[in-house]
Amino acid sequence: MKHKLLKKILSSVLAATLVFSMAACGNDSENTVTSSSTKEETKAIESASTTESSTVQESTVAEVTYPIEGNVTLTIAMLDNATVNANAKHLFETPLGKAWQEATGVTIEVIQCANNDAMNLLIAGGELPDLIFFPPSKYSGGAEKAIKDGVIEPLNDYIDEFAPDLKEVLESNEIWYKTNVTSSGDIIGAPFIRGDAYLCSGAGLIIRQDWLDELNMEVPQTPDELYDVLVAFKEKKGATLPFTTTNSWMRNIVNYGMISSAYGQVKSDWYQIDGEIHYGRAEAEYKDTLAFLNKLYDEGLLDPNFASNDNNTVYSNMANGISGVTVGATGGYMGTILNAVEKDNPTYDLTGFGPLVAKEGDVAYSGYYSNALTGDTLFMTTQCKNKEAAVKFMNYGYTEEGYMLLNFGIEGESYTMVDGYPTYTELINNNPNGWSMQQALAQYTMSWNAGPFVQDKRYMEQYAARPQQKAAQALWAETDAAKYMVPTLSIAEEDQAEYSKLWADINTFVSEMMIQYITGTADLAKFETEYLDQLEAMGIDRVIELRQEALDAFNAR
Amino acid sequence: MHKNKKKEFFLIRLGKDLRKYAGAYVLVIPVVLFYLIFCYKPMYGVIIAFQDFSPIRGIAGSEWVGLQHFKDFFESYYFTRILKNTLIISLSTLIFSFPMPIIFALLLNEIRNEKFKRLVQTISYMPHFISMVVVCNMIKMFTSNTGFITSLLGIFGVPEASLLTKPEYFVPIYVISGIWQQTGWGAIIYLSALSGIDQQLYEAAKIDGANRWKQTLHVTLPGISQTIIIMLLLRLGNIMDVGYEKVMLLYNEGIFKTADVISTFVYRKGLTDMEFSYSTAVNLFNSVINFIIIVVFNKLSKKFTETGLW
Repeated sequence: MKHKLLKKILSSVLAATLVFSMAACGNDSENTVTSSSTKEETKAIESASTTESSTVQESTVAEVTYPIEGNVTLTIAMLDNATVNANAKHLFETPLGKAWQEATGVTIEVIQCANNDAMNLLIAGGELPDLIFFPPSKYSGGAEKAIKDGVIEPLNDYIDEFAPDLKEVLESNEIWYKTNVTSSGDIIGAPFIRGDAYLCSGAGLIIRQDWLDELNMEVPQTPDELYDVLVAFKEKKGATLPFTTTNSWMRNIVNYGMISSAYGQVKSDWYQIDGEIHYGRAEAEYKDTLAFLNKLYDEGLLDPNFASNDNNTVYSNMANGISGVTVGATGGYMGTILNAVEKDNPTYDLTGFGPLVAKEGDVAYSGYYSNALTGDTLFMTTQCKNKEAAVKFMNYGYTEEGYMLLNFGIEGESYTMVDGYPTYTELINNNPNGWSMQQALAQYTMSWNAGPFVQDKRYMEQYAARPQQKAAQALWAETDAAKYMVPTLSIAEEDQAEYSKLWADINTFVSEMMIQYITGTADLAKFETEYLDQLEAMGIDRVIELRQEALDAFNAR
Repeated sequence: MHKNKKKEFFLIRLGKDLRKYAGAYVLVIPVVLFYLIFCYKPMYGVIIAFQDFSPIRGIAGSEWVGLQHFKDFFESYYFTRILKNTLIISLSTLIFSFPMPIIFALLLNEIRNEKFKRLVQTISYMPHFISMVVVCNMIKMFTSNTGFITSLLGIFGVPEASLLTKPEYFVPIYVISGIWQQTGWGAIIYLSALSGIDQQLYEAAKIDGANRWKQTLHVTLPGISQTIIIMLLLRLGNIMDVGYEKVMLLYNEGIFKTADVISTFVYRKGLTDMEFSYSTAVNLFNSVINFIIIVVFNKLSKKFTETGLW
């Protein structure tokens, strides 16, 4: 490690301040097992080189010019996307994709993968494309392992020269930067970044406002109020399944604490309080959330098919008055349902509510919240044939021009500047081909989903344009979620085997027990003995310890 | 002594045989090659069960860990559960659905109206040709809280909730739908065995005063017993194999308790978690057990019924 550091100092004149501090950080964790004197030494080297390199950096700022010369062709593997595929073969056949290729001067050949498993198989096959757009966390062992396995080529040696804009963006925010490097200091790739906290929330509980009005009821804020509303929906509105959802959204309810605040727990997943890590599903308070859901299930208020429902079933349950409460995103859920009923049922109305609290007026600890870096990352593989062009291509999304293209599409076609505000045109808002707004966005932008760039808040302002959506978006952002959120962590390489072995079993166990407790298949009365004790026996304490170490390392980066 | 003599002359005999039946040997070459290339050659891949395999580094470059993955599997919290589930599903399939095609074939055999017999046969094959995905979606719909099977059971006081969210219903749903899918198709082999029974035996039985039931018991069943035993042996060889397709299409996390089997576990470990070595180890363990079972039962069968696979 020390050797590597020295080599780095010698070889990279252009290396930036951060590259050095990172490498030193990797050193720190290594050094905990060696003597402290060497640590002092490296520290000294580090501080010396830091000052040195930052002065060098001032004078030479690389700039990349587009289009890239030489008619470069790059292969990129990415997941199929149903919304894109509805109207184009793949992303790079869309107007956006074509403009992107033209602007960068790179011809892209796409390898489409049907799902995560297919992508993992492609990677496992050993013959890698030049670039891959895929969350490295979905690779077994995460980014750290992918680098060790020789899948990802870290950007450390390329970023200064070929991706200065990416570098600048990453360096502009400490958390962004930290999330995009591994604990040993390798820069993973070009991440998708939500540019504003407003974009990080954006999902929550949804209720039929028109029914509430007719019943003269308030929007529920506490579990008891929600219960009363559901009973009323069932008895007076003929909703046979008052509260409908899917398995994955049920998991989100629990994981993001949409109910747990009412019972004094931040959320029933990983969270942190002042740097101390907690696992909600291994805490006693989790029982209360489960008990509430179980009560709803027992009394026929919660859709008994939730474990096998898909999103479309939920949309139709909501649209047809079978259900009056669900949980989902402002765009995909609220938007989709409202679109579906608009014509036939003009009085139909939805409101976002929650997260639930103990008494009216309290602020919830947490609600749906995704990290600014969602994990979706464009990364270069070790087998990339033209690394210079590949990194330059990765950089494009972070240039000013690329930012506008990927967020809003082609000026004059998909958006126009109105008083300095990029406004989507009719082509997007009211597509002549009859495409939904999401489908139109998918042809001209990446902001609706994810990509190698910084997402602009103004996309969401226009996408979730209905007043109900805007109100929900604002309401759901009103929690302290950011404070408790755990950043994407990477477990130190030497602990990885132990961690993944323990965690794999625990993860399956908690997932299935959640459903079993809700459906009453498992008895909540034995929660302590059958569940908490079992978790302990499966080594949850050790897992928490390892996560704590990873968080400490992250904070120290 | 006799055996030694056989071995001594094996090559000479093979040589003679080659000259005599050269054409037949040429014909068999593609089959032998098929097995060598597609069945035996890939077997060297099981090595990864003893390694910390990484595809990028390849088999040659991956670290050797010996029996570590087997140890991990045996110590895993889920080891007993998936083993138990696999055996329960497999044995109930064996007990309930293995006899069905036999009974069905016997019944069909008693039908004297040829046209009607063919019609019944054709209809009963059909489920076999429906894609598994479609079948499973049908099952899901029928067993949802508003599905017709759920409503039907509702009459008998079963609470009307989605059956596939209740662990106790998974095995019956799996087995019963399996019977529906495979009975007609499975009966073909028995029907052909039935048609091979010498009609004179029936005449003789009739003269001896045997009624239909007695004829079935003493002529028909002994007539197809060899087929039954061979089918049973083949089945036993797969006793630890519960295919992942159907289970994966039907289960959800809420019913892993009874639905998660070795093959789905291997699928999730191998393809979702990309733990290639671990999942190979699990599957290798599975195959070894299967192999042992089939050898033992073949021995037993040979001893008691003089019928065997080899």
